[in-house]
Amino acid sequence: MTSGPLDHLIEALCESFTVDRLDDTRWSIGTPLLYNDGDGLPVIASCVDGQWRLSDNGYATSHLFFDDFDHTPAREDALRRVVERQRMMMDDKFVITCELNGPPDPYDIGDFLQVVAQIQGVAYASPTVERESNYRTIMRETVTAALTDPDFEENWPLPESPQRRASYSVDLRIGSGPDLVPTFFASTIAHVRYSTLTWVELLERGIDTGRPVLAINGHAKIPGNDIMAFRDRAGDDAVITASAGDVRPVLRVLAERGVPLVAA
Amino acid sequence: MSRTRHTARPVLDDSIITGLINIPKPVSSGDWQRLRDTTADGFFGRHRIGLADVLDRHPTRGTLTIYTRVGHTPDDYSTGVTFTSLDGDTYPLIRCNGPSHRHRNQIEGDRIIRRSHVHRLTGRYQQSRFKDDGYAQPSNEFANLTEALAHLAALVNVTPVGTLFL
Repeated sequence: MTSGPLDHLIEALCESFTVDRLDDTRWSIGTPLLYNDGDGLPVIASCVDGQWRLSDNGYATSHLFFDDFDHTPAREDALRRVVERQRMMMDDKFVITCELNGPPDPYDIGDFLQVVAQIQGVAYASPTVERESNYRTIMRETVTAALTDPDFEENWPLPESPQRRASYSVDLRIGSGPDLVPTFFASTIAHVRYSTLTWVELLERGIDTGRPVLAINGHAKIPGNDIMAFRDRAGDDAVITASAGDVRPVLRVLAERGVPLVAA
Repeated sequence: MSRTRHTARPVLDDSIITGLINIPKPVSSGDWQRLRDTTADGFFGRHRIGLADVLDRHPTRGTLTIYTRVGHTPDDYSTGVTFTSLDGDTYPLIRCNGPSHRHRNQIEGDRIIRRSHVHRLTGRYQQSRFKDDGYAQPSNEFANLTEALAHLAALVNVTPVGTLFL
């Protein structure tokens, strides 16, 4: 015998699982398992030429792109590892498929949903082999080790301005006055944009030396638009690509700007 | 039942969200065409254009981005606007979604079954354990990406630069 609330729960659970016919060979399976934006986890059952399959129609990976998701080789590896660990397949269009020996049972659907749900976790995986947060640190440490003049400051905060509420900082201030070289290191879109805004702020405050440097992690996928926004304001030679393991491109540009460096 | 969310990320209140959505967003014809041409390049046909200057003199500083994305089925597409604060936090302000999937508004409990819908960032959802833009309303205004983009343009006050492109 069950109590009233338990009867209600059982009824609600049963109602939350649905099967809708899409066409002669495909059925959409609805469950109470949702992404955190309220969209349902995708499960499409199909039977073509007697072969039963479960598929997500590519929607699990596609859903990652609802947010600012940087697709990188490291993340693609992570996606494939999630799928292959459960002995399912992911094709070159990122469609996940699970082939079955007969019509799916609830446990087949449960296994499939686990994989689909885990795909979302890749959004929190590092987009690069070099950890994002380490890029700035590694670059700063290596560049500062090459400076011979002690006039530099890490995370240099721009002087307070009563007209502005926001705070800005430069990843590495090298020199000062007419010799100032504000240097930025970015491996994410957000930091490229932040660097652009900071440079604009420097310009507006009249701290314009025309000699900034923005080093971008060569393993990051930064859209051209975001890079152009910085380049438009700071000059074509202000943006360079450099991996965390090789700061030579940065040192070369700094040397061109007259920054004293230790001999190579 | 009361569930709270623990996050250091600041909540954008509804008046700020409305201000960011309503501020005029100049977009050139070339950029607009690029957003529509989602099959040309990019993973999952994703394109985005940054509107770096729009908020230069706005009380809420940061950058706005318009994006489009298409999946592998005709009903799997989305287009929206995101806001990135100076601290690097990105907020999904609004997103027009195709009808490829079901949606449930987790706080209200209502469902949208395979219909086009528009997600919106709200203060209420930001303070819940659900996603910031977890609230959505069904829409009859679009049935493909081109129509969704036109609808988005109207919703977020896109203003054409140069020739008319809508």
